[in-house]
Amino acid sequence: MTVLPLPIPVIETERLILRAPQPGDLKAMVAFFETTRSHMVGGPRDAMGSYTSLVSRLGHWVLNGYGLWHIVEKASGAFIGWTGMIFAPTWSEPELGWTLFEGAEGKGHAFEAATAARVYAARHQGLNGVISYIAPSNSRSMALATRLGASFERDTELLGKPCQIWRHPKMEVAA
Amino acid sequence: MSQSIPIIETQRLVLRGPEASDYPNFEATFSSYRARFMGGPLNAYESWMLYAAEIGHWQIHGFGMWMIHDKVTDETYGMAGGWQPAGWPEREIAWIIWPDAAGRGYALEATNAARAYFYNTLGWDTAVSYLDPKNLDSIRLAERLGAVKDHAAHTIDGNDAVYRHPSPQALPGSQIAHGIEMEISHYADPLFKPKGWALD
Repeated sequence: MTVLPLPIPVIETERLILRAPQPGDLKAMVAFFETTRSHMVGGPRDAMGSYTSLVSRLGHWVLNGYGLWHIVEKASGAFIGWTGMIFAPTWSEPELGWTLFEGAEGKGHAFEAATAARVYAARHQGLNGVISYIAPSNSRSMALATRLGASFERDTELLGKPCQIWRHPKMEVAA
Repeated sequence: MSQSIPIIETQRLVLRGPEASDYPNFEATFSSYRARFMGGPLNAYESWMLYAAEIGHWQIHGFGMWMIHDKVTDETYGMAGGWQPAGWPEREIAWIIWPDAAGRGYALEATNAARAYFYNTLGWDTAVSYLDPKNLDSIRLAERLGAVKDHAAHTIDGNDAVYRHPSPQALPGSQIAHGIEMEISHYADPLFKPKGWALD
């Protein structure tokens, strides 16, 4: 047996649960990736593209030892987006990413989820003082990055599109 | 949701789950012309994501594509196994052989073992292969495996031909099964020199 180094950890915050991507999440991903809202995070994608994205997130955990969590709102049980660390060819270093679906915004969920993911990455995944890639037109993500204490570092390109690198502060990690 | 990937041994090969160390060979093939019938050639990012998807497929479906290794040297020759992403009408038996490893019967040996596993261990009652009509090497392999073009079956998008594999009941003791066995034993013979067209 080739045993995959999983399961993916589950993180619980005050209002959210961060858990592994699951097959049942596909429908919401397809809906999201069909919208222009996905343009700033690699979309749009067709149904096959969304499927590949979902299963590759699991493989990402296996290959890198870290990856994206899917975010569930405790109160409603709804799958509302994702956050976690992303690293693939053409990435200059592992990135903290986040995406919330429309309708889940404005409640501080992205902040709560990204904070939890960033703490986990620093404590358990050896990733501290990480970057976030943000599309130049994505002012909401820049605002969140600022709230998270990150600051603009430089302009670059990612997958052929102009992109900004924001740098998160290094956190104290208890030995 | 942890998933273990079984290991399968054949006469010359070991099939194991795809691992990070095997990735460079995968990328080399998927960024090449060889991948033209498998959605390629892909850029570095797409290729890595597809590899991650191959691994994730095992997690979600409980089956997937194995990495084909040489039993003795451990070098990789390609991938073979099962594949059913969203939009696939049925479970597919699929394969890809690195260009340098073609012509030695590895795809036949690996795919035959994968099919036996799906039939005998996972209890599949049928399987298809979705092939590009221009992919003559793979059509030849499908036919050597006993698969027959199924005109009535649903295709993925109308641009592919569906080849249906012999059923688990039809295969044991059949002429096809003996033919596969004989062909593999020929390839395994160090003195065997294939004539004519190189076969995967």
